[in-house]
Amino acid sequence: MTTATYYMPDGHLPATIIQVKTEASKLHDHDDPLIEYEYKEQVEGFQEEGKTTTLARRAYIRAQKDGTVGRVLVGKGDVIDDSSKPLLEYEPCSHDAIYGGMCVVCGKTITEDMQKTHVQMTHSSSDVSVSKAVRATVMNEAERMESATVRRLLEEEKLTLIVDLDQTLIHATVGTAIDEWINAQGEMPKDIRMFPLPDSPTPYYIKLRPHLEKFLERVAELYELHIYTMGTRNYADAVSNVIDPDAKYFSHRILSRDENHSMSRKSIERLFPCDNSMVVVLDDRADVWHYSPNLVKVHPYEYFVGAGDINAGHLPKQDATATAELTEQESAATPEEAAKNGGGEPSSTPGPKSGTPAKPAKPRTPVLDDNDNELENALEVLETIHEKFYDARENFKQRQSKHDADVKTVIRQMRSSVLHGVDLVFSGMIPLGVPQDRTDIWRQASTYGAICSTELNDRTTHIVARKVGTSKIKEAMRMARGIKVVKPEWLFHSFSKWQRQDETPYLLVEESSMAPISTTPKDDPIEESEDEDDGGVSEGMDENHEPLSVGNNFVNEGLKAMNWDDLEKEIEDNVSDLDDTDFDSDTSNVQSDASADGSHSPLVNLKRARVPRRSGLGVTVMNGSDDEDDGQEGPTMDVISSQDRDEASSDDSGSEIDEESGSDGDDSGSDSDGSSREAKRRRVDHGSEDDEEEEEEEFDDFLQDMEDDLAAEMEDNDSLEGEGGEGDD
Amino acid sequence: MFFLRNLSHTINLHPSYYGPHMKEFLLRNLHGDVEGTCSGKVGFIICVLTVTNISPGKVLPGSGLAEFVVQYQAIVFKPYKGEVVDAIVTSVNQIGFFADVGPLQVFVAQKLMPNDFKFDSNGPCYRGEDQVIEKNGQVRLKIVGLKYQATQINAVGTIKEDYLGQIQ
Repeated sequence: MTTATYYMPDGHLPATIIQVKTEASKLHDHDDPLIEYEYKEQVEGFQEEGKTTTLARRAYIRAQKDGTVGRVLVGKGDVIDDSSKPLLEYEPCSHDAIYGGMCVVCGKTITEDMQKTHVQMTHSSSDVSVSKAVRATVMNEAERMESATVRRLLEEEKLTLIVDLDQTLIHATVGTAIDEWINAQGEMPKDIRMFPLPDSPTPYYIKLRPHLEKFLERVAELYELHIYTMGTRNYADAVSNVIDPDAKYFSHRILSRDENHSMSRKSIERLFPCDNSMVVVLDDRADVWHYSPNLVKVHPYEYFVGAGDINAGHLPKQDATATAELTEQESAATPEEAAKNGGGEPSSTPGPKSGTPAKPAKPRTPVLDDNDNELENALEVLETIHEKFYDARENFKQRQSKHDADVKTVIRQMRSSVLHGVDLVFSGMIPLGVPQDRTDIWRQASTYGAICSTELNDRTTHIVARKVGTSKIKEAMRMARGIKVVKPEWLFHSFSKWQRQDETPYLLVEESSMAPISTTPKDDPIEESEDEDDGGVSEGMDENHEPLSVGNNFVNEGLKAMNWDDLEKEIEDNVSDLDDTDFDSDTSNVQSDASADGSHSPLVNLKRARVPRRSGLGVTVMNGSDDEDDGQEGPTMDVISSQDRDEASSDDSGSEIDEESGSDGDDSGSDSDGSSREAKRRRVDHGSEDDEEEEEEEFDDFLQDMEDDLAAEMEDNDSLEGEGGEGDD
Repeated sequence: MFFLRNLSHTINLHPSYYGPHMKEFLLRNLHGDVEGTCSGKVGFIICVLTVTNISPGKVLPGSGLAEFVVQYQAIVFKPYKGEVVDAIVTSVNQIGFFADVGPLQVFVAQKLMPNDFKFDSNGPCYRGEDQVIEKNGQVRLKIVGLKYQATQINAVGTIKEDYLGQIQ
């Protein structure tokens, strides 16, 4: 802190000190009078025009800031005639740190307004009254302390590591179910610890993540460890007590929800406001950290099935895709890993199977295998980061560069090199209607250096899919460029090991079937479309699909000039109308139509395929609307359907479709259009299961083709039969 | 500083306590209510010494409770700015340390420690030339700032003066 010296202002010389209103080490506010003095001033025309009068005026030397007086160098009655003579020394205080509403240096009460510029920086101690806490300004005090921390860490060749507890180092659960299970075990299973918390009637159980002890021991040599958890203070202390009983790893460096001041976010700035170039974060959730570049993400550790993160209640919902995938991934990976570990330690892993038969469907039953290697992987990654950071630092030093090493850069480089050169397409992984580039898996893949695309293109190298037979895989097979179709586990394992894994164990489709084949008609999609029995996977739709594209082309030839949008809408209406009709009569109509008119044979196929499918969908809609919005769409549909039936019975069967379009298209078009769209949406909502999604996706494509074709035929009929339908209404 | 102060306290007594042992109840209530409390005005009430007067009970209309005004003498602790006190360190962090002076918690910032004091995160503690400030250690400090609030008092202190600091 710099001491300011106060002098007499130039214009006021000479001046006589009247009174010294302060004394050494006295605390003053901004603008407090410190010294009162008297000086002479010449004023013109004060008493008489044209004459100058000398007036004695009094003024004050005032404190320019809050602060304390150092030394007073003048006394009462002194005459000051030199502006360089110091009057007093004053130490301004910038109130860098506040405790209990007071500046900790000068003890002055700080207003609420000023406190806003302060941040909290310490992990609070366990003392209750400390929640009022010490604050330090971002700029000054915090910086000073941080630079001290950095110096200390550099001396010790360490970095800072902030770790999360729940699902990163441990998995915790609480409740009667687990209580019973534990009791049934007779003795406490390995690596499960129990502790009571004052605010819970039942004790908490935590399962240590495998290799935790080794992880902490090794990582503590390279990092200064901090805990940052969304649990309460009590919980954090209790857990740290379990995993670090001697307080040698974390010591007092524990930050809990009680001190975080945010229920939904974690931020490095909370602990390191100025400089995060040496801070690494280890957590199982990226979103709470705002996808911080300092973050090393691990798989959530889940041992007590269904318990999830007991402290995540306040956090925003986890990306639905991500969780679904992760849990699936976990269960899928387990047997594989078990095999890899040569059985691991099956005898010591708790045997929930023995506990379960008596009470089946207990939600919180530990999984059988506990072969989680995530911490080992994380340890390797952290070791590498540490090594590279200090390498980079050495490098910068040698080149005498202004820049300094930064873990953010190190992490980014390491990460983006993992999947460098990989061009990904996801198939059947992300539900329709979700913006693909917002999903966790997409973002994660991108941060690991992969290029993600929504559609296959000629640069695509990998398709990530959960099952075979999706349209993208088929397309890739057609392209026959040797695109690898891998299970998502390939991605996840690459993520967690920070190393591109060999694809072979993860291949979903044999490489040979994807490889380019030199002499094959398959290469040409048009030729293929004529070959009915082509392709390894055949689905019901496929057979219909192929000839249709021919029909499509054929119709398109003649009807290029049509307004397709309108037509499509009309068809949409039509189709939703059809939904409600008894489709038995419908199909029979169509069939009779087909038999009557042989020239449209591909389209007949189309209709037969389409009507029942669509009706099935329509039923879903009706159920849904009946249940949920009670007759908003229901009645309209009913009216339509009864109309349909009337028409169907009164009219010639062959013209039915276009009549409907004529009579209903205008009146209730928007309604039924909406309902069919709703139907799609609902299907997507329900379609969390893969095959449904995939089916939907393919079906949609398929429908599009259908609609085009139907539209064409419709137009055909229209032109043949004139305005008969409209007249009817 | 400690003071002997005359204070008064109002007690509302439930009718079920009316009877021969009423005075005992009143005294028990008094001790329970006031000892250990803190107010910005009188400071911390450490202990009640004598009860000088108990007013006749006045039955409150409506509830039937009787109101007694009890006059008593108590030892109070009221810290003052500039006071030098002995304290026990309760926690140490990189900004400074907290110390308890009986019921009063005082914070001492690193700036108000002698210049040679350095923070050592192993412990954690502050190390000076021949002094160590660590948890549960005893320090002598001077109060430089106080904030009296309705039910609590906050204080900041310094050890950056002669004869202050660790007590061996």
